[in-house]
Formats: sequence, structure tokens, C-alpha cells
Amino acid sequence: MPTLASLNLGPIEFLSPVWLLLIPLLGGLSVWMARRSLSGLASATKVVALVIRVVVIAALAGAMAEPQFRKVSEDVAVNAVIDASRSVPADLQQQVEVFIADAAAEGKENNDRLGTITVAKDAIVQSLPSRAVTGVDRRFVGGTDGTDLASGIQLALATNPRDAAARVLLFSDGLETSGSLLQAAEAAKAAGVPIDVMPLRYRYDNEVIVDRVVTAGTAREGETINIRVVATATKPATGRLVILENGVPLDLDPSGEGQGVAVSLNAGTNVLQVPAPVYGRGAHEYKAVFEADRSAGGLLIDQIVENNTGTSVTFVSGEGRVLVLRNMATEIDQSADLVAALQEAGIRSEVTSPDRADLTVKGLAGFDAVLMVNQDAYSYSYEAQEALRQYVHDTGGGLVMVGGDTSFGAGGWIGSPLEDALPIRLDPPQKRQMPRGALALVIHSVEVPQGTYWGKKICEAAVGALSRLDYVGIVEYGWQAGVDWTLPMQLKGDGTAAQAAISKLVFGDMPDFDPSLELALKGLLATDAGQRHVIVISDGDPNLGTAVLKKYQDNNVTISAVGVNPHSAGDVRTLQRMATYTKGEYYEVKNSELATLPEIFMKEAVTVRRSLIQEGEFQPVMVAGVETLRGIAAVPPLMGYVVAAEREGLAQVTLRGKENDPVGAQWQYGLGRSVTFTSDATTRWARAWVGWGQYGQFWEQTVRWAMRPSGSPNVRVTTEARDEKTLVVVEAVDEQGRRLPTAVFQGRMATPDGEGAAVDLRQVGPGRFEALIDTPDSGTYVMSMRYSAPPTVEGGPVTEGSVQAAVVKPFADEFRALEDNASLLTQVAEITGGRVLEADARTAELWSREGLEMPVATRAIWLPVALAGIGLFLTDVAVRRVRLDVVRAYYAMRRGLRQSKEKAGMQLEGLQAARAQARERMAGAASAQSQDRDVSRPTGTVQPRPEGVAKRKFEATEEQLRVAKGGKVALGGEAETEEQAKRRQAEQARPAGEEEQGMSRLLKAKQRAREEMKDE
Amino acid sequence: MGDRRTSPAREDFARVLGPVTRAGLVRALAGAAAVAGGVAWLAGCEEAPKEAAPLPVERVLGERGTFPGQFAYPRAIDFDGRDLWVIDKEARVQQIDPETGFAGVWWRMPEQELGKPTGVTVAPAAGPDGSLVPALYVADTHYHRVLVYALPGERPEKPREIEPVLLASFGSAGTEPGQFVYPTDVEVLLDAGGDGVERIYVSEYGGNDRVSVFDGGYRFLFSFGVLGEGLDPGALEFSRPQAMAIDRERGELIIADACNHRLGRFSLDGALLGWVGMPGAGSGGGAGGGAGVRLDFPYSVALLGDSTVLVTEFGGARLRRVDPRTGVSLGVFGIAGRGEGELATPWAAVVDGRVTYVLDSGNNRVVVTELAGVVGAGRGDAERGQH
Repeated sequence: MPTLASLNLGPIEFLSPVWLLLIPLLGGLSVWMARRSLSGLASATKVVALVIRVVVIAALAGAMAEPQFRKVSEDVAVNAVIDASRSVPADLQQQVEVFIADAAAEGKENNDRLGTITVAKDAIVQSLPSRAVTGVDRRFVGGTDGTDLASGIQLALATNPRDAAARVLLFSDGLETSGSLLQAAEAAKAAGVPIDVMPLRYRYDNEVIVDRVVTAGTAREGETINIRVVATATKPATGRLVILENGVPLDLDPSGEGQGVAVSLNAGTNVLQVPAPVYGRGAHEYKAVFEADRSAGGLLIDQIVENNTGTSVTFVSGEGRVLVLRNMATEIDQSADLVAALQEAGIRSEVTSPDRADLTVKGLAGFDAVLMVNQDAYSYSYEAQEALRQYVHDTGGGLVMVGGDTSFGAGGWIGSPLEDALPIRLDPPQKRQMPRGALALVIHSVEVPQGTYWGKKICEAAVGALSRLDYVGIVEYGWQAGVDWTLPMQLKGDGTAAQAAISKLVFGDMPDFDPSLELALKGLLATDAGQRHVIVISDGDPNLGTAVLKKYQDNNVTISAVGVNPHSAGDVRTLQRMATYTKGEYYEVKNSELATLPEIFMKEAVTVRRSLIQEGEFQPVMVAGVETLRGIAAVPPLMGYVVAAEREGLAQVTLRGKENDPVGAQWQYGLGRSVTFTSDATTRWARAWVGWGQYGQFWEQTVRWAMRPSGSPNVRVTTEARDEKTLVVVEAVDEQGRRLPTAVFQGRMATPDGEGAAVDLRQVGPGRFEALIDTPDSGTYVMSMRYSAPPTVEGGPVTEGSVQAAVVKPFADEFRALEDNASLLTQVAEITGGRVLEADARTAELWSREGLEMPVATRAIWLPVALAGIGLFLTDVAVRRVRLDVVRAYYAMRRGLRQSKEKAGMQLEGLQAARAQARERMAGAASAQSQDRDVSRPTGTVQPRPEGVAKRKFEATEEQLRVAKGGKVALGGEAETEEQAKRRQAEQARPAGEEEQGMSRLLKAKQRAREEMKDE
Repeated sequence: MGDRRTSPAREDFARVLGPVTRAGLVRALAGAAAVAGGVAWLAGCEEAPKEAAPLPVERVLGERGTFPGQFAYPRAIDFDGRDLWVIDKEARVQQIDPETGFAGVWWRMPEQELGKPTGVTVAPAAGPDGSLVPALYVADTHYHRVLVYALPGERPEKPREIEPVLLASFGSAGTEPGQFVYPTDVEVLLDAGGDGVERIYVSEYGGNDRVSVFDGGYRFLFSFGVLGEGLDPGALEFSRPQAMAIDRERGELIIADACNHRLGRFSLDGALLGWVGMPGAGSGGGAGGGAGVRLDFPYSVALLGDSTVLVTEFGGARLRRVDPRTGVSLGVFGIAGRGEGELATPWAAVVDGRVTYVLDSGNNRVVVTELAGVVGAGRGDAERGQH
């Protein structure tokens, strides 16, 4: 019944204090009543009884008032949020660390706690608030080219201890590139946490910023374009401007020394123009770098170098080009026949290997199609696979994937981002009967920075490369269960079980390889797999026996060992022994090569995937009415292919193999098209094809179908940066140079975060189209626009084509600011009731209790209070019913103790004697029973009470009180009769030794009561 | 019930308490039963609990972190009679106040790139002038050597990084006599008079699993044991001998053979006296080869006053008191977990009197506890702080 606010009485708080009103009310009432009801008691007993009664009432009323015990904390916890972004000069960051270390040493109470959080692109807890923390111990701070101060504050609020008064201390220049510090400050205010701020003040007086580089979005081959560099200088400055075209410096001043040209900048905005001819089709990246001269005193007139570069991309249109990716390491050029066929068809191609190609969206955008010949997934980084997917989906490029023994599912592409772009599913059809593979991962430590992250990544890569029909299991050493399956050996299926298990991995410290290898082998042998393989990842220091390796050898199960930073040559030998003994591979990975780890795992996992290869001659079945097979009546037989499944939806199968497997398939994916051919293009599987008359025609038609329509030199794109957005302007003219009155554009943009976004072009005039696109992050945005326009003259051709453009944001906004933004920090302090500390502030102020709300821990105590009340209530009864003689109690206890000591040696004889004595006494007591009487025993309790004589058991009537003056009265009973009085006197005269105790006395009393009742 | 009236003292009590009712008797009986139960319970405490349970926690020292007084996966501990010495995976040797958990002096191992020490022992060593001084023997596992530091003196009020006095360094990488692959622990035997180091025992693993014995001048004397799975109980094989303890009274060396999940008892000259222990539930394979108790990766062994040992089971996440002669388990303490009194991959425990300091490595803390029947070999002798 919380009708009143809570009430604090010292350390006790009452949540419903209204119940306390019962204390005076009922207390007064019982005092008033006690005057009558307790009058029969001795005065001291009366007072005690009354006090107890009032206390009982107080306790019960107090319990109902919901009392809580409050403990107020005396400790302060300071969470220091340190801006670690690149905009804060290094010397200021140093000062912050010194300040915090001083603060930890001075003015801090023993149990005060210090925590540190760094904030740049992400907020990261460096040390949780603790009394042991004595400074800043920066470990991983994440990316420093951005500042999200708000997330730093949020993290501080989340990690503040609850048993200490919290304060947040923010060290920053006040420049944020994401998040909202003011919103976070409001949250801190709501949480009652003041944010003290220490502005890190600076101002760059000598600074040059390359704002942007502007080039035409598109150009024709051989054309000279204008590279415009827009630079801002705070003071007049001199230096050199260097322009790099695709990484190669342009010789801007053939007469001068070195690369680049000397320039002088005025204070304010400067525009520098450099003409450059463009040769070669595709994307041309122009990077402008300003190198400032030193002043006369040797000082750099430019302080931040990160903001001295700018980049722009120009796409040079020309004849269509295809990038052919093949494995250069193999002796036989598997792409030779294909490339020859393309050349014959007039399609220009560039043949290279994946490690040499520029597999970025920007690099790929210069090609109209990519032809992958028997490529495995582990030769491609995740980013490259994603770029290829984006290249097709968002920039409209074509993809032709040609098979071989290390391609498609047998090449580890299952689960890769590029699989999404293919017109087939790389997992075999669900109902297909085929040999399965079984893979067990044995996971030990991954002793590298962010080891857990990498460990999980590699497990994902390995499991991802398996098909749904393969078995997979993961064994690791857990700190709770020891060696056990984290993922029991099972069919991969959709991979969700594996994914869940991977997320639970703990990378325990395994002392011994043997139990894990035994368990893995047991799991593998229990499957019906044709190929069984184990991958072990470890630093190599667990023990390894030979017996277990022998078992692997006997069962033909291979182990590949991946050593991550092995501690010594001995560890390397352990892992090597494991691999060589079982005919597996050994890999050693150092910190600098971590990115290769997932690829190794993928490659190793694929060793169980050889079963996807189907060899043996078959006649492919052609599907009628397909554009890529136009003019081809029949195809020769093939000798093998990689099994895959049909993809539902718009994908079209063009050639079918055994059991209707899709050998040839094609579809439109986003803006681009992709084609798969799961057999190969060499004499291994396509022996009959290479000599086939229509071989060239087949591949020309296939590649041309996939290729992006060639760009028109008559469509020009320019881009212009507008803060966080970019304006894209497309100007389109027809063959005769007339502006296109209307055109339909379908545009997409590949963004740096790997996502795609639509580009909506709006016509703003004849032949002029514009779009304002979001370009908030630094990186490259590649746009691709397909267009079609009706003929400008009746009967003329429809204008169709595509055009690419790119926007490059070279550096983060972090580096644009030339001075701090202390006013934002002041605002934050004002909102939260914090203080603005300057660099010379006394460190002791950090621990000041002023303005802090000390947290209170409460514990409900109604139950003990209620129990105490009830206990006292029983005492209340006892006080009036039982008379306690303390002095006699003491003597009795003493005597008892003495006797027990005396008896200690008596043992059995003593016990027997006591027993005999007791028997005698009982016999004697039985004979004396009829006369037995005990004065202290309340006779009334066994007598029926006459009506109206006493209201309560324990209250005396007036009559009893009156009689009491002359003789003793048994409380609650009738007045003593004359006969009873005589009997009592006789009893009192009897020697004390004859008194009876215990049950016998009780029985006697009972018998007596019965007699008395009969008398009545 | 008539037998009750036997004692005059009881009669006196009855007089004092006044009338005795049947309810009063029932209460008295109930009270007596409760007292009897309580006595039985107290008596029961003397016996080892049947089921494993969290440790009774007196206090917890340390927390996860990299500042003095914090630990980053600590793996080695010993007690010098006043302070604890803890080494973690940051390669820091820290002096820890066993009462407050505050750090005193600390230093970082001279080299740490390849790996961090896994063993530390407090014992006397020959000082610069040849007399015995208290010292810290660090098994610098991944640098294939043992470093002997002079034990620093007083504990400062606030943590202080120091440059420790290195008394000696012995061992190098290799499998030849006097060389080590991965040394795990050091034990020191003083001569009969207690005024000189007689022998230094160093255990190692990494394919060269054995115990090497040196004299007080760090000269190699002999070694015993080879790597093996312990299938033949008569064979002197080890698979990661992780820790040792010397029972001076009986002239025995007790070795925790971690990956064979057993304890070995040896004469001080390296003669095998017997094995006890076999693999526990979570430890999978391994032959064990010993009788009795199931051990799950015993990583440390601490000698107790009654010549039994307290074994830390890394895999079992518990401590176990074992009679190394019979293999009988005399008590199990602790369960796996992150909560109070629970353990995660504990590496070691040291016993000082009735107090046990458990290095709860996975939870980055030292748990101070008192365990039934676990009483250390006593302070003040020449080899105090031994484990």
C-alpha cells in the first residue's frame, strides 16, 4: 500500500511507511488495555510484558512497512574514455596517459576504481574499472580513421560498476565522425553519471589539404584529360605535386628532376590543373599527392600527411575486353584453347593468374567479362570473391566459370560469396547417391592477436567448403568437459548446427593431442564416408604419441596440421610428424600471414570433396532455344564434370550431363550475367570438343552473351563531391552528336562496404541526367549504368550500352579538421553536470566525491523483522506464563555440570546404578501418587472454567485478585478452596527430595484433575 | 520415559523452568535431535565430501587484466611464507600479498616472445658469496632454461617494477644431458644439515620428457625417464611431467605425470617406487598405468604434512588429496565453472598450514581456501614454500 513516499530511518528504509502508523495506534491501545489485563502480574513483569507487547506490534507493523537495509557505497569509479583517433596529435595522447597515471597515483582512495576505454572508429574497453588499474594499457584500439565518441560513452555507462559512484572522464578533441555524443550525454544524464571532459586543444596553423581530385568519369582512348587538383592551404605553401596513374608516377615536368612538378599554393582554395593523355582501355586511377617543402627553419609547413592525397578514376572506353584467370603454376595452360578461340572471334583478352590480377571492383570494372578457367576458391581472398560477385551484380560485368578438377564444388567454392552469382548450386542435388567426405577439425590454440576471431573464421571456411552431403565434426579441449566433440560428427546439411558449434568454440589449452585424435578417428570411422580427413590447428606443444598415428595410418585417414606460431622447432616437428605419418600436409603460419589461414582450411577441407568429380564419357543433352547455343545442332561427348545442382528461379540450364546434372547453365544476376560450364576446356574432359569445328563458335557465343554491352564513347560521366554525397552527371549524345532527348538508365553502385545500391538517374535537361548518391565512407564507389534510348531519327538504331564511373573518397573526414571542437565537450559537461578539466587540472579532482550520487545497496529485511515480532510474541506469552528464576537456573546448571564431571568415569556401572535408583524412585513415587500436588502447576488448565469467571486464560478476575491478597491464586483458575489449600500446605511441608518431576508428575496431575472433576 | 528422572541436576532445571508440558518435552526432544544432528554434521566435516562441490572461498586474489595485481592466464605459483609469487602469460613475475591481493614488486621475464614460464619454486640457492639465500627458481619453459632469482625483500606499499637479481641460469635448448626442451618445474633438495643445496630436480616435456638432476652448483648429475604412454607400469616413462614434490622425510620424489594421468613415486636417485592414478572421465586416452584414483591431467602436486599430496587436476578442474602410496583418493574439492569456488583449468595449488592457494588460471585468480584434511608440510623448515 504505497500511499506515502519511502521513509529513511538511519540505515533502514521503509517502502510503505504508512503501516508504521499502526505502532502508535495499537501501541496506545495495548497500554490502555494492559492497565486492566496485566494488573495481576508483578510490576516488573508487567512492565516487561507491556514493553514486549509494544515491541511485537512495532515489529509486525514495521515488517508490513517493507523495511530495507541500506548500505551506502563509499567508493568512486572513474571510467576514462580516451579519444585514440588519428585526429588527436600523438603528443596530446601521450599527455593523456601521463595525466591518468598521475591521477591513479594521487588522491585515489584504496578502493576507488579506474577503468579505461579507447575510442576511435570503435570503442574498446582496455581495462575494466578496477582498483588495480594504475594507468592506460593500450592494446588493440581498432581503426583510427574515425571517431565514435558516443559509443565510448555508452560503453563507459555499461561497464560502470554498480557498487561505486560512477564518473566518466572524456579526453577528446570533440571531433566525431559518427554517432552522436550529445545523445550519449543525455543517456548519461538519465543514468545520473556526470561526464567530466578534458578538451584536447590544438590548431593546425600550417596545413595543406588535398580536397579532391577531379577527372572526367569517362574518356576515349588516346584523349587528353584534365586532372584538376583542388587543395586548401591555411598559409601560403610550396611543395611538389605528384600524380600517379594506376600507381605509376606521371612525368609532369620532363625538364625537371624527379617525378612531379613544383607548385606554390596561396592561402585558401587552390585549383591545380594537369593535362594527361590516356592510353589503354579500362579504369585509370589518378592519385594526386602533395609533398610540402620544409620551411626555412626546417619545420614542415604541413602537419597532417594523411590529408595530402586525393584520387579520381576515369574509365576509358574502347573495344570489349575479357580477363582470363587461370592457374599459372600448372605446366599445361588449361586456357590456351579457349583464349585462341576468343582471339579468333576478335575478343581481346588479358590472361593472368588470380594473384597478379587486380581483383577489386574498380580493377575488374575495366573488363566486360571475367573468364575463370578451372579455378579453386582458396586462390581467392574473401574480398576478391566478394569483389567478383559485386562486379557482376552491381557493375554489370559478365562471368564465365569453366570447370576442371579443382573447380566448383571440388574447388572449394561451396558457400563462397561468388556462389551467389552462379546459375547453379554447387552442393550436389539432395537426393543424389554419391560418395561422401568426412572432415574432423581438431582445434587447439590459435596463439595470435585476435586468436578466437581467426579460429572461428578458419572453422567457418573449412565447414563452408564442404557440401551438404559431407560429414563434419569438431573436437576441442574444453575447460569443463575435457576432450569432447563441440560438433559431433554429422552431415553438414544446411550448416546451421556447425555454425552454432563454431560460435561456441573456446580454443582450450590442450595438453595432449592423443585423446583428441583418438576421438576424431572414432567419429570419422563411424561414418560411411569414402574420404576421411582431419585438420589440426595448434601451436604444436601438446604431447603426441605414435600409437594414435599408427591407427590413422592403418585406417587410411589423413591429418593435415596447421601450425600457428609454433614455439620451437620441436613443436614444428610434432606437427610435421603428424602430417607426414598420415600422408597429410603441414602448414606453418606466422602472424603476418594470418589472412591465408582460412584459405588453407578451405583447401584442406576440399580434399574430402573430390567425390564431386564425375569421370567417364557421356553425351551432353542440349536444351533447345538457348541463345548461347544458336546455330549449334549437337555437341560432342565429354569425359567428365563436377557435380552441381540446378538453381531454381530464372537460371537456365543449357547442357545436361548424367542424371540431368547441369553442365552448362546461365542467368542474369543483378546488372550482369553469368555462365557456368562444369566440364573443362582442355583435352582431359573435352577431348572431342577441342577438335570440334564449332568449338570457337560455342565459346564466342557464350562469352559474348555474358559480356557487358560495350560502352558508348558518346556517353560521358562526371562526378562532383558534395560533402557526404556525390553528384553524378551523365551527358548522352547519339552517333551524330545530338543530345539524346530521352533515355532509360538502369544504374547500380558497388560501395566500399561490399553492399550494392541503386543509382536513380533523373533527367534534368536534353541529354543530361543527374543523380545524387550517398558516399559517406572512404573508399571506392564504382557505378555502372546500362542505358537504352529510342532512335533519334525514325527508323534509326536504338542506342544501347553501358557506362562506368567511379568516385573515390581517399581519406576519412577525421583528417579534414584543422582545430579541436572543445565547445561540444563543454556542452556535454553542462548536460551531465560534469566539469571541464584543463590539462593542468589537479589529478586529485578526479576522485572528488562532490556532485556524485553514492550508490545504495538495499536488502529487504521484512522477513527477519516479522520473525522477530513473532518470536517476541511467544516471549510475551512466556513472560506471563513462565517465571524464570535466573539465580536458581545458574546454580542448577553448575550442579549439573559438576555431577556430569563426577559421573564421567562411572561408565557402565554408573549407568546401571542410576537406572536401579530410578526404578526404586518410580516405585516409591507410585505409592505417594494420591497425595501428590505441585503448587506451580496451573490447575485451571485441566479444569472446566465456569462461565464468566475469566475472560482470558491468563487474566485474573476481580474475585481472584481479591482473594490473592490473602492467599495464593493459580492464574487462570478458580480461587483455591480450603481443601486445596490444606493439601498445598502439606506438600510444602514435605521434604524437597520427594518432589516429583517429569512425566510421572504430569500423569499424576492429570489423574488428580480427573478426580477433581469427578468431585464436582 | 520414566527413566528420565535420573539426575538431580535435571530436577533443578525442571524447577527453574517451571511446569513441564508434553509440548515442552517434544520441543526438548526436537532440540536434542537438532544438537545431535549438528554434532554429526560437524563430525562429518572432518571427512572429505562425497560429491565434488565448489571450494569454500575465504577470499579471492587478483582479476583479469594486465596491471600489477591482475593476471592474464597465470600458470605458476608458489608461496615464500609471506608472499605469493605468480607468473602469468604476460611473462610477469608478481609478488602478491596473500591477504589483500595487492601486488608488491614485479618484473617481466627477460625474453617472452616464444612463450612464458610454467613453473616457479621458492627455495634456497647459493648466493653470490656461496651462502644460501632465499631464491625463486623459474622454469623458463620456452627458453629451455631455469633462471634463479634472489627473492626480493620487503613488499612495497605500492606495486613497483624492479630489476631482479639473477643468481644463476642453467640449461639450454636440446636433448643432451643438462639441456632441456620444455622445463616445467624445479624442486630443490637441501643437504642433511640444511646449509647447502644438494640436488636440483628439473622436469621437462616436449618429446624429451624426463627429470634431470643437478647439484647445487647447477652441474648435471643424471636424468631419468623417457617419453612414453606408460603402458608398462614397470617402465620409467613420462608424458609431460608437469610438477614435482619432495617428501624429505621418506626420501621420495613425487611426480605428476600429466598426460599419463598418474603420479609417480621415485627415490631421490630416480628409482621408480610406484605409480598411482589412471585417466579421468574427461581425459580420454592415455594408459595411466597406476592403481586407484582417476586423475584428469594432474598439473601440480603439493606435499601435505601427513605425507599425502594435494593434486591439482587441470582437466578435472578440481583438487584432490591423494595418498601417493596407495592411490586412495582422500578428498575432492572444486568443480568446473566460472562462479565462486568454481575452477577453470587450474594449473597449481600451494598449501601453507591450513590455507590452500589455488591458481584458478582460466578464471585469472587465486582462490584462498581451507580444505578439510589439507594441512601443509609446515612453515619454517629449510624448504618452505615448496610445492
